[in-house]
Amino acid sequence: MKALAPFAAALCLAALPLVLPQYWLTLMNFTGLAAIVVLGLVLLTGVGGMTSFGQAAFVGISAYTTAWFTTQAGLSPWLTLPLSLAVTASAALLIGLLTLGLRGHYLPLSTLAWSMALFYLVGNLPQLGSHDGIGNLPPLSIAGHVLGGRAFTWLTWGAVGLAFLSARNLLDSRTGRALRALRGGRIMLQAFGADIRRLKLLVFVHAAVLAALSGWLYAHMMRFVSPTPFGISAGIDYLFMAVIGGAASLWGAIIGSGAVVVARDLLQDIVPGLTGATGATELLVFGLVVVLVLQRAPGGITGRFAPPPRLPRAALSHDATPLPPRPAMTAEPLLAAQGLTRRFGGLTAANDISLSVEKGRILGLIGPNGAGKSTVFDLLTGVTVPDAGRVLLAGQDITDSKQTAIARAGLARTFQHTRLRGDMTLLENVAIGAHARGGCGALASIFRRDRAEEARIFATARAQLQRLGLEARAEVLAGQLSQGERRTAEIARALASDPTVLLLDEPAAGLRHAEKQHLASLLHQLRAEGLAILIIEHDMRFLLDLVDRVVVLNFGQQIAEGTPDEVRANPAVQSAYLGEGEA
Amino acid sequence: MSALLQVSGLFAGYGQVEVLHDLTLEVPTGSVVAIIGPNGAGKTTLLKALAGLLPARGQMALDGMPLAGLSVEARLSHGVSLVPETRELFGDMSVADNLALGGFRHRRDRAGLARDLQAAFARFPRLAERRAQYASSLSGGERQMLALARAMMSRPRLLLLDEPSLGLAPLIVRQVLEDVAGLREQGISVLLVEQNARAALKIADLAYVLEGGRITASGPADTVAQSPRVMESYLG
Amino acid sequence: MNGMIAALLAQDALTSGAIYALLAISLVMVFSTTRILLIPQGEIVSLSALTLASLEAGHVPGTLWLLGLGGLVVAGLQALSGQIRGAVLWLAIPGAIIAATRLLAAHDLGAAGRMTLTLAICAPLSVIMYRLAFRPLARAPTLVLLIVAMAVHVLLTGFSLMVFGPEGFRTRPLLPGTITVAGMPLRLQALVIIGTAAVLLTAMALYFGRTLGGKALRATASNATGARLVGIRPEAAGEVAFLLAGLIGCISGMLISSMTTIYFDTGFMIGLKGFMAAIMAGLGSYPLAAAGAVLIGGIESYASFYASAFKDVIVFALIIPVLIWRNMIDSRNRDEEEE
Repeated sequence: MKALAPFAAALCLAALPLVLPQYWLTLMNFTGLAAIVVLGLVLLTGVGGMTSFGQAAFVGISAYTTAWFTTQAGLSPWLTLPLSLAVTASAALLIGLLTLGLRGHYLPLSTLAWSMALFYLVGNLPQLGSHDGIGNLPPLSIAGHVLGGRAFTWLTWGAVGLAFLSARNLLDSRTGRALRALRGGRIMLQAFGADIRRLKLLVFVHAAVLAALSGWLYAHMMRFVSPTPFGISAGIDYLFMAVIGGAASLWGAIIGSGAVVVARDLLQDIVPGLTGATGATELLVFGLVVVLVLQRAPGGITGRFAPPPRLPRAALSHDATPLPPRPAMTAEPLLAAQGLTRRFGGLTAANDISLSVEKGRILGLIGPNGAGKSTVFDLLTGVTVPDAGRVLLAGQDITDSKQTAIARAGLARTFQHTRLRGDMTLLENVAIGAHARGGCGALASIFRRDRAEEARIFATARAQLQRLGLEARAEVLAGQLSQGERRTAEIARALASDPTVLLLDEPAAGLRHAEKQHLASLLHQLRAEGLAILIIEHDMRFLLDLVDRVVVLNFGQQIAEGTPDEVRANPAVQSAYLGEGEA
Repeated sequence: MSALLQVSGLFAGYGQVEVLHDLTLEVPTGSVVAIIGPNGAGKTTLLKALAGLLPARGQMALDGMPLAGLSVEARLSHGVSLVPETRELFGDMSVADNLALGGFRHRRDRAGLARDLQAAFARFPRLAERRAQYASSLSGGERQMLALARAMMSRPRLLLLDEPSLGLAPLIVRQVLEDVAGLREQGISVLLVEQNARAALKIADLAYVLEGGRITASGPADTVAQSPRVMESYLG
Repeated sequence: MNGMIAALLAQDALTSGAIYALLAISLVMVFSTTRILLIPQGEIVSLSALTLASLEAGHVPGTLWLLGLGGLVVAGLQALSGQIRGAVLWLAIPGAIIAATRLLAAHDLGAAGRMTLTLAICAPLSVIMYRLAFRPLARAPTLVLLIVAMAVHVLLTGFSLMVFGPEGFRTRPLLPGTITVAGMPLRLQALVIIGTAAVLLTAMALYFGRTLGGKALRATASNATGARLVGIRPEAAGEVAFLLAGLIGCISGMLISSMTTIYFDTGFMIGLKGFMAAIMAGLGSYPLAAAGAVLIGGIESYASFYASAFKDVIVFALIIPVLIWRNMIDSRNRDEEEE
């Protein structure tokens, strides 16, 4: 029954143009055109966290491309469709390469900047008709039949459907999971081999291509283009539509577009008689509505009337086999650091640290707070680069490698402050661990050519949950897990990357006694399976019972190394770590 | 001794993750109370909840006056001052400015503020020497002094101290803790969170052991220090 | 280009640079204390310019509606939360300003009187904006605050269009005419603008450097948690920052309205240029922001001479390299991320 609902909705929508008068068809067209742009914005801003005020500029680039080539070069609109998409995508690629590295506020401000610059450029180029624009575009036609009226509405909403599917399929994929974790999850994603730059660029171009599709349709619906509909206020409008509909919801894109288009039309009809100035009321009302929505109902219309969308995962075969393990590495030690030194300003956070971990061994790294443990961890995982010294992973020098490359080479880590996505299920969180083991790209995902691999990724994630005894919680949102479960989930996610070396950052912090026991037996089991494990831990008793060897740090110096018994007996360790003086 | 701070049935955490479960504790007037426990046990969370930086459920009362629901600033005006583990100094402002701002809530009492500033400099001559330097240029020990001195400028009744010995050399740790112990003589009560359990228990009157967000032991500091379980876990 | 033109362009550059500097500094101040990118600062500029023009024409400015309605809503909210004294103040002060304006608008008040009245009408709008739009969202992510700022900008543009219409207005200069110094004609109004900006910038420097109140704002910017721990309420800091920004925005609007025709949407563009300067300063340093503002004034005035049609293209396209440069500097300093 539930599976049929979308089809029923689509059928109703398809029937609507048959019964609606032309006036409403026009509103439907404008809604559809806006919805296509806003769908891209939902991925870009609502999900990916990159706020853009510039989507209207992409609509404009596409509209002007088709306008110029159809009127000046006499090409058929069907030929300029791929051309417009390609030109817009190239522009987005260029702009994205330049600006997507910008952080925080700088990125949205840059979208204001380049869209304003483009607006004034087009308005002043006589070749593009300056502020008057280009007219007399050919209508869309098939075999001599002009697509007007109902046919155009069907075409527009067909495009909305395609845009919706492409966005939904992308979200429900390996790329989509990374995208959904992008906001605030940069460090975690890199630790599992996801290429953040590429991911941002991809969603930016995807959103631009959707805008381009809308621009092409717009140009041939109006048969006239001028700079104004692609200016900054249009860009702001698209963002407002997304916010009003619910910025993180695909349905919200359509609902928000419809609400704004219809409300604007009503305001234009009714209110000018009251005030005299055209456009003033709608500005006033939309500004007010967006402020109120963000204050009172941050989820927009969809968030207000429906629970936060739980992404429906398309049915995947449950008997898929987990992904193939990586070839075993033989070069010992699996992880070695030699003379690592790192200074921050005048402070030497790590001075000449050396350590090594072999296959099937656990090495502990201890020291008081501020001793340099986290710095060493960052140096090993590529978060920071050492001022001196080398890091070797199975004999291969990874000192200057990027975090993503190190992750792909077989080093996985957990985080002291757990970095799980509270709005994704436990299973999806763990599946992110297997990100680098998959190969399907965004296009494969959009066209659903990734189902077999997806099934194997989830089989891998499920297998890790089973291994750690969490499979019963697989479909629970990670935000609802207990502290102990979150710690275990961190390990499951690391294991899903099929690591050779596992780095654990205070895995027992905040755990209760029984949970620690469980964790210890789990780590023993992983050691027996041949993993090399490096563990930072504060709880001395827990650590010394667990590990084969220990390295002790204090004030950035390595003050001792040896078996737990040797370290226990070492007076320097006692005075440094266990308390002052009299030990 | 009556209790300056009384806490019962306290629950607190971050977002959906609950860190403290049903905590009950007391700080008697004019005493130093130590909270010890492993990393991640919820010690910092407890201090933040008491200071009003984190939402919490349960009873908290200062001298019988309920604190629940009050903002950080309102609690400060009742005399609850937190020196957080992260210090939270104004790095791009001078030592003198940091201290002056510590007395922000007494800004109308200019004479008193000037007196307090002189007292702070007399107590920490080191800070007087560096009064014109940016706080960010201070060493770890000096920062800790500045954080403590800044908190004192608000004339607190209850000082919440989070890891005052963090990142300090043993010699300085001793000095900082002696300073803390000295606060008692000025009638200031202290709730002290410290990973250096041995040092903390030495200057404290009472101690609570916090594990997994629950209090697992409590009593006079020397009794807690003698307990075999505590000795093994935290004292080595 | 001969020396005369160069000097005229330099004069233009300094004049608009002075305005941009005032705006840039107010934007840096608001951002660093509240994390809000105050895009609607531009609307405060145009509203005050239009209010002044309206008073010059002997009309009752439509801005009073905004002051009255805004004050009413703030008062209502205060009353609802039991703060009766605040509610009375928020009724009384806007009420008094409105009454005074209606009484005085028809008379010739002189330039000083009109400007005082404009300041009294427009500066409180900034505080009303903070109270109604931003304060309820104090804990929201910065990007939500940005979208709210954009929405307030749209709202105020709509209001401005509604009450002042699409026509442009220009006010009389405080000091009309020119003097000739060493063969160079200097517009007196330009000197007024540059002089006023210099005085205001000095006053701001003294406020932030010498007074405990100014230091409290800097403290909030430096470390918001630290500021709360010493008893500085973030809402109070935000309110002071918005009030100061409102005053600066109003004065900028009144100054610039004699140099260029102001339309209901002119403020946005002026504000954006202030933003560019603020960005050059990493939204953090006041002297750098002022320097950036003069640079932008320069680029703009020379670009309008050489390629006037592409003046705005050049100015906005230049933001991109500035942003990239700034981002590189900033990412060297901090590497944490926001959830």
